[in-house]
Order: sequence, then structure tokens, then C-alpha cells
Amino acid sequence: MTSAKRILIVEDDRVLRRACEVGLRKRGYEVVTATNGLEGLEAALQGGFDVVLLDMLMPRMSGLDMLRELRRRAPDCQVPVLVLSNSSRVGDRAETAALGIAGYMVKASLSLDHLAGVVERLTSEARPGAPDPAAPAAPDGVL
Amino acid sequence: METIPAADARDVRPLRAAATLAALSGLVALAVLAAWLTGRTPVVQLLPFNASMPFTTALALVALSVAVVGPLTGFPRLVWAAGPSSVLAGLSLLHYLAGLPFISERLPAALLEEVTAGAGGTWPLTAAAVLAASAAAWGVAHPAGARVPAGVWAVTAGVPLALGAAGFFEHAVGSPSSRLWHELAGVTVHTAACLTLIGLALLVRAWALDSELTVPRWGPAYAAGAVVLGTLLLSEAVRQEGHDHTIARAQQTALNFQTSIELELAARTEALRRMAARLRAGVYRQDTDWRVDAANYLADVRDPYASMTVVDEVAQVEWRWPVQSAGASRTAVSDAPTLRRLLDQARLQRDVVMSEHFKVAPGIDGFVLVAPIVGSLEVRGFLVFELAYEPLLDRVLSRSPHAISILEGDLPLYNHGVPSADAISVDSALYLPGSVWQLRLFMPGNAGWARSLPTIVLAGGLLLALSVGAALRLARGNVVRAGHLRETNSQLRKTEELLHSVLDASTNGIIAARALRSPSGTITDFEMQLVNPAAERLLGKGRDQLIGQRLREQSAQGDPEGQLIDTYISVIETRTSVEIERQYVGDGLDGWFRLVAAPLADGIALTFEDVTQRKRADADRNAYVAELERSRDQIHRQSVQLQWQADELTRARDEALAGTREMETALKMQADFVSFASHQLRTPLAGIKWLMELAREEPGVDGELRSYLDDSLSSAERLIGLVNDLLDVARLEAGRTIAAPARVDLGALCRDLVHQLQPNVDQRRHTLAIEGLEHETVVFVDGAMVQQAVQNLLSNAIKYTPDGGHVRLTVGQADGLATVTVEDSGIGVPEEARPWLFEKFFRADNVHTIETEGTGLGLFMVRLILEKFGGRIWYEPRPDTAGSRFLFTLPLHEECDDIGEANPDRRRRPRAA
Repeated sequence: MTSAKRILIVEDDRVLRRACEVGLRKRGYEVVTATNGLEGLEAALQGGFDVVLLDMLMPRMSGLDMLRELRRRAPDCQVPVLVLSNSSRVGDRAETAALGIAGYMVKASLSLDHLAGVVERLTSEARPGAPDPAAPAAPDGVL
Repeated sequence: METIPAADARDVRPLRAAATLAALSGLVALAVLAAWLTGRTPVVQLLPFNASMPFTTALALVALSVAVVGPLTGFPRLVWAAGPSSVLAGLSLLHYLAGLPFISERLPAALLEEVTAGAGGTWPLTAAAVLAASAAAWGVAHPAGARVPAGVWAVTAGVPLALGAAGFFEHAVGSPSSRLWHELAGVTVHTAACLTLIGLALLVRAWALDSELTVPRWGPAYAAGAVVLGTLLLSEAVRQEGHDHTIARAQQTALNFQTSIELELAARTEALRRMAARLRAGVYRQDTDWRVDAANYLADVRDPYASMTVVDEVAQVEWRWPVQSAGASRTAVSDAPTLRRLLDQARLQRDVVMSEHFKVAPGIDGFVLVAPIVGSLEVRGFLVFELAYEPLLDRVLSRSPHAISILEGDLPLYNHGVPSADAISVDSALYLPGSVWQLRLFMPGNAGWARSLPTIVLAGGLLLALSVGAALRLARGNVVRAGHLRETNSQLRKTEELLHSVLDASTNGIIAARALRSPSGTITDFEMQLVNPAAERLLGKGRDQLIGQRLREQSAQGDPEGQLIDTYISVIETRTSVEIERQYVGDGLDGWFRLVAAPLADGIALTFEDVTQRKRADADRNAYVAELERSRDQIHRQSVQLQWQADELTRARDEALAGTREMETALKMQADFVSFASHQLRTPLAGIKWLMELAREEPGVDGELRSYLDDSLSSAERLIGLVNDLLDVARLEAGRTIAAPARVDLGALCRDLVHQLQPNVDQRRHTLAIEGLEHETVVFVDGAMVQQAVQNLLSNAIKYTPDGGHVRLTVGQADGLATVTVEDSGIGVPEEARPWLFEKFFRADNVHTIETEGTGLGLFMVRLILEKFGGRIWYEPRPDTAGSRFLFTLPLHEECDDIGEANPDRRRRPRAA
């Protein structure tokens, strides 16, 4: 590992943020956290991340709004965005997919190992940010 | 509900219309009679047409008839209010244009005669005024008459008023030479006539229709204006009448003068002729003979001022017979030489010759006409003439009671009497032998008043009655307006239709019942008067069985103690609505009902719905929440929130059932709740899971601690699976699942699934057989969802079959349907559990012998998924052996495969089997 891959975690839930941060750090990633969409947007616009893990339901600015704003302000930003949501709001999947994301996964159905695996794949891909969603190993039901 | 309140008014209308028409005809007949009696036609004279324009007059009369009769008919307001006025205005404009040279040159002769009769003059102004009157009528007749802007009233009433004032000014000043004033007066007359007619029509219409009219604020001003205009109209008419009459009389007088003077002159000329004949015959020998004839002549004419002169030119002697003197006097000739010279000159020139005092014209037989000499003759040296000019006129004109002037050119020759200040001067030509004089007669200005009195009384009375009537009705605020009632009725009908469609559309049962009271006034029962279709459906009875029925009888079984009736009575007495939710068994009903009783005037409105399903769902949910509570404290907290949300939702939905809007809100809340709950439940669960994973990775975690963590982790995962299932079911039930149907080969789907589940099968040492893969079995479904359904069935088979059992999965086709069978050699389903197998949260008793973790959602979800794609699932016991057999069908995707291929994105949903 020449230099640690940088991950941006945008997550409002303190426990989840901490678990995710610790889990990924232990696996050798450099992790930056943001507690809402506004902070996340600022960090993402500064750049330098290999993957962005984005929650949907957040105070001040939702993940969807943040993604939309990011695409508007930085159209050339190629960093892959992995949406991690527990919400099942109809339309979130379609709307985020239209904005270009690397994957959409349900946190509750995801183990840290699996998440780390997906992140590893995304950071090592030659062309990050492919719109093809990563297939979740433990699916959020089929619905 | 079917009666229309306007029925009475409609019956009355034709009668009133007929009476009104009869009254109008009578008025017109009276006016014609008055016109005939007075020899004038004032009414017609006031309108902008006359007998010299027959076609125009006919058109105008038709238009006016429409204006008067129109309000009684069903014609649109535009036709009778604005139409006639517009026609009149158009005619006025036409007549004006016809007066313009470049247009009149191009008109055919026949048309020209018609249209130029009224050309020029006040026509443009008349057109404008009539249009203004039309706008006023439109405003008055408008349903929103009270809301007609003040500006419109100011213009429509103000313009005619201003013009009327101008006309009045002209009349007062009396300067006929001012063309502008004259035109303004004409406009006033025309406008007043139009306004009066339109106002009359509106009043008649309002009276005939017996409808209400809100009085505009400008109404009284309008009525006052009508009174002023009526007065002006009258004075103008009278003035015109008097003037015309005076002129006619003066002309007659002048004609009389002419005749008497001519007769006088003729008599004298004849006498002179006789004298001339005797002169020629040589009768006169002596002076005395002359004297006798001259005296006779003068006696004949009986003119005390006449005088006769005979000049003997040879003897240069002149005899003159003044009448007053006893005999002729012989004097020297004075005027004779001058006269002689003039006579010669006239004879020579054969033309009229004039001097300072005489005018001589050549006549026949040496007879000449000389002015101011009545006549003269010349025979053989004698010149005879009579000087009778002034005395003659004096004698004739002095009989006249009027002042008279006689002028030759501008030179006054004669004056009789002094003209009074308001005298009307009438000029007439006076023809006397040898001259044309102008007779100027002065007649008193008010000569016509007396003769036109009947016309004045009639027209004035009519106008006054109209004006006062209008003012009174307007002031009372009760002037009627046509159309108002009709519009109210149609509004009422529309509201009624709307109400009916709302009642029909409501999914809630609605009943209106009348209170029945005992003689003492206490309410004993209720009688149903209105029942909507939903109520018929919910109660399972037809309208005929319900309308007129007593509530107490109807609810005899379900409410034996009359609690409901007592509640209804208290609703009426306290005038407050009551909401009841109760189980109702009996009267052919069995279930939970939610009922709202609201007071009516003397009765009650009941709105109710069947909430059995919801009640059952609530009970189920409560049971499930209790189960969740046992699981973990954190989940318990969430459950409380869930319950709170559920209550919120229930309450919102209850409220929403009152109307569609609220219903939509409730649905939205339900959908929001699903996504909210999924987020709220899954977030802490994910936290627990991830933290346990981290804890497990910590160094030194092994042995007991490690196994605790593993168990906790698997519990958490089970809980997550449960929540996911629950959410899936909730979404399926709410119809919010987005399916992506496509061509799916069921065989391939099953093969993949069996491949995935092989580890579980091996773990239980089962044998798993799959059959029917030799053919494609293509259905049009969402592959992932159907795979989930088959997976649930297979998992159950694996789970509920003791180790080392057999599981068989068969895919086939029959009767256009794809069939899938899942069989096992497991514990089977007890007979009493089979009807409930596919219900939510149902678990058969014998499953607890295998495991206790199931949710009772798996088969329910399978059913929901299959039904979504037109499929059906059922259970079949295996007759030969223990174990279960589940069968499901899905419609085969067979038709139009090529189209399906060509349009892979095409969304198709198979028809329900």
C-alpha cells in the first residue's frame, strides 16, 4: 500500500459514523467524516477522496440534495459515491442513480466486511464512479 | 328534492305577460287616438324617423317592439336590451353617412330617397346617445346590476342628463339660430325617448317575472334624471307644437289678406274698365258726366279714403274727387306731367318704368298699371287715375288683430300695430298689381299652447306616472329584475346535482333521518329519509327497504337496548356530533363500524363505514408490536414510536375517510410512515450490528465472550430480516412496490435458486429434486420478486422437513398457465390451519416443534407477490404421505413475443387468471 486511500463518510448517526470510521480505519483507509450534507458537500468539493459514502436522510441537507449540488458545482468530479441508506423512500434509488452513483446499499443489510470489500473494489477500479450499482451481497429484500 | 321552487313563478308568467301586452296595446291606442284628436302625432314625431322614411321607420318599429316584448321572452338579454338600440343607432349612422356627398353619389336612386330624407343634422350625436342608452339598459338588466361600476352609470345616465340640460338651456334662451343648441336639443329628445322606452320595458319585465332586483346606488339619480328628461322632452314637444301652429295660422292670415286685397282691386279695376269703355264710346260730353261716373265709382268701392283724379291734358285741367268732399274740385295738374312722361316711356320701352313716386307697367288698350296708384286709364287726352294705395291697404289690414309690416325689399312701406316681445314673425309674399311685396306678420309666441293641451296632458301624465313609478320602486329597493330568479333556479339545480354526485361518490354510508316525536314532544324514533348507495351496500339492503323505515326497527337485533337511538336523541338535544366505534352483530351485519352522528334541523345525519378490516389489522399489529417489545429495549423504544406513528396514522386515516382530500393525506402519511419506520428501525440496528462486528474483531475476544457476541450478532441480523420482511409486506400492501416486469424463464429462475440454496439443503442432508426444466416456461413478471416468493416456499420446505427428507420442485405448464409445485416430506399443515395459511402473521401450531423464530409473514408475502402478477397459490395435502405440497400458477407469456423482444422496456402486466 503506497499511500492510504481516502474515504469521506457523510453520516448523521453518531454510532454508525463511528462504527464505519473505525472499521474502515482498521482496514487501512484514511477516513474523513461529515455529519450532514452541508459539511459533506464542503469536504467533497475540496476533493482528494477516493470514495464517498453518503447517507440519505440527514439534517440541514439531505444526501440527495448534497449529491445534486455536488454534480451541479463540480460536474467533473469523478469520485465514486456509494449511497448507504436505511430509508426506503420510493424514488431515492432512481433519483440518485440518475445523478450517477457507484452503488446504493442498505446499511442494516450490510456487514462491515462486505462494505470494506465494496470500498476496496471501488478504490482499486481503474475508472471510478461507474454508474453501475454494486450488487449487494445481502439484498435489502427484493422490494 | 326533485321539486323546483320556481314552478309557481313560471305558471304566473304567461298570464302577466299577456296582461302586460294588453295594457301596452291600450296605451298605444290611446296615444293614437289623442294624436288623431289633436291633429298631431307627437309620439312618432319625437323618434328619429318619420313618414318620409318608410323602411327606416318599419325597421325602427320592429326594433322597439323587440325592446318592449323581449324582456317577456326567453331571448338572451343581449337581444332585447342592446339589440334594438344598436339597430336604431345603426340607422342613425346610415342616415348621416348618406348625407356625405361621396357616398350619396354612389347610392341607387330608390335607396337615396329613403336614406337622405333624414340625412345630416343630429344623426351622429343621436347614434352616440342611443348607444349610451343601450349601455344603460344593459347595465340595468345585467344580473350583477348592483355591481355595475359607478363610472358606467355616470356615463350612461350623465350623458343624457348633460344633453338634456343643454336642450333645456336652448329652450330657455330661445336662440333658434344656434345650430349646436338645436342639435343638442334633438339628441336630448331622442335619448329621452329611448331611455323611457327601455325603462318601461325593464319595469314591465320585472313586474311580469316577479323577480327581485338589488337597486344600484345610482338608481335614484337615474330615476331623477328620467324625470328631468321627461319634463324637457315635454317642453320641447310643446314648444315645437306651438311654433308650428302659430306659423300655420300666420300663413293663413296672410293668405286671407292677399285674397281680400285682390278682390278689392279686381272690383275697382272693373269699374275703371267700364269708365274706359264709355270714354271710348264717346258717352261723356260734359264734365258733369265724368263727375257722375267718378262719384258712382267711388260710391261702388265704398272706400272712404279713395280719391279719383281726371286730367284733361288738352285743357290742362285736372279734376279730383276726394271722397270726403262734396264734389270734384278742379285744380292744376300736379303729378300729371310726371305720370304722362312715365306712361310714354313705358309704352315705348314696353317695360316697367319707375320714378320716385310712381311705377308704371305697360298694359293692354292703353290701360296701365301704376303703383302706388290703384289704377289709371288714358283716353284721348284724358288721363284718369285713382290714388287709393295707402287707404286701401289700411282698410284691409286694419281689420287684423296682429302686428303687420309690408316691405318692398328691405324698405318698409307700411306698418300696422307694434309687435310684442315674444311675437313670432312670419313672412309671406303679397302680390299686388305691378309689384311683389313682402307681408310680415307678427303672431303671439304662445299661440299653440291652448290647442295642444290634450297632447300635453296625455304625454305628461304618461311620463310622470312612469317616472314616479320607477322612482318609487327604486327607492323601495324592490325593483324586480328578470332572469334573476331563473339563474337562482339553475344555480340551485346545479348545487343539487353536485350534492347528489357527492353523496353517490362517497364510500361512507350516509343516512339522513327525521326525528319522530310523541305528542308530548319527546323524540321516540327516527325515520330514514335519505340513503346513499354506499349505505345501501354497507347495510346490504336496497333503498326501498330503507327509506321510510324506523331506525329502532332497523337496529332491533344489533341494538336491543336502544343505546344507539338514545345517543342519537342526545345528539339532537345537545346539538353536538358524536363519533362511535362499536362492534355490531345482528340485522344481517357482523363487524366493526365507525359511525358519526350529526344533528340536522329536526333529525340526524349518520355517516358510517365498515372498519372490521382495520380493527383486525390493528389487533394484529398490536400483537406484533408486543412481540417486538420482548426482543430488545431499544426496539421497544422504537416500537413506542411506531405505535405512536401508527396511532397518528389511524387517526389521520379516520379523519381522511370523511373526504377524498384527507384520504390522500392519509395515504401519503402511510407511505411516509413506511419509509420513516424503515429508516428509524434500521439505523440503530445497523449500529448494533456494526459495533458487534468491531467488538468481535478486537484482540483477545474469544471463548465465551466471542460466542456471546456471535449470538448477539445473529439476533440482530434476524431482527433486521424481520424488519425488512415487515417493511416489504407493508409496501406490498400499500401498493407502493415498483415492479419491473420482464420475460422470465421460470425454469432458469428455479435452477439458479436451487443452486443458491444448495448449502442449506446439504446442511440438512435433504435431497432436492428439480423437474420440468426441459421446456422454457416464460412468464412476464419481476424476476427478483418471484424469485423471492419461490425462495420463501423452498426455505419453508427445507426448514419444516426433518433432516434427511425429500424436497421436490416442479415447473410445468397447464391450461395456458405456468405452474410451480414445491413438495416436501415434512411435518405438513394441520387441517384446521389450512384456511389461514396465507394470512398475515399466521403460524400453524405444529411449526413450534421445529423452530420458534418465524414471523408468519413469509407465505403472506408469497401470496401478495404472486397476486401482483396475476398468479394464485394454494396448499394441497399429500394424500399418500405426510408433508406439504404448495402449488402456484402464473399466466404464461405467450402472445406477441416478437413485440416483447422488440421492446424490452415495455411494461406489461398479465391479466389476472
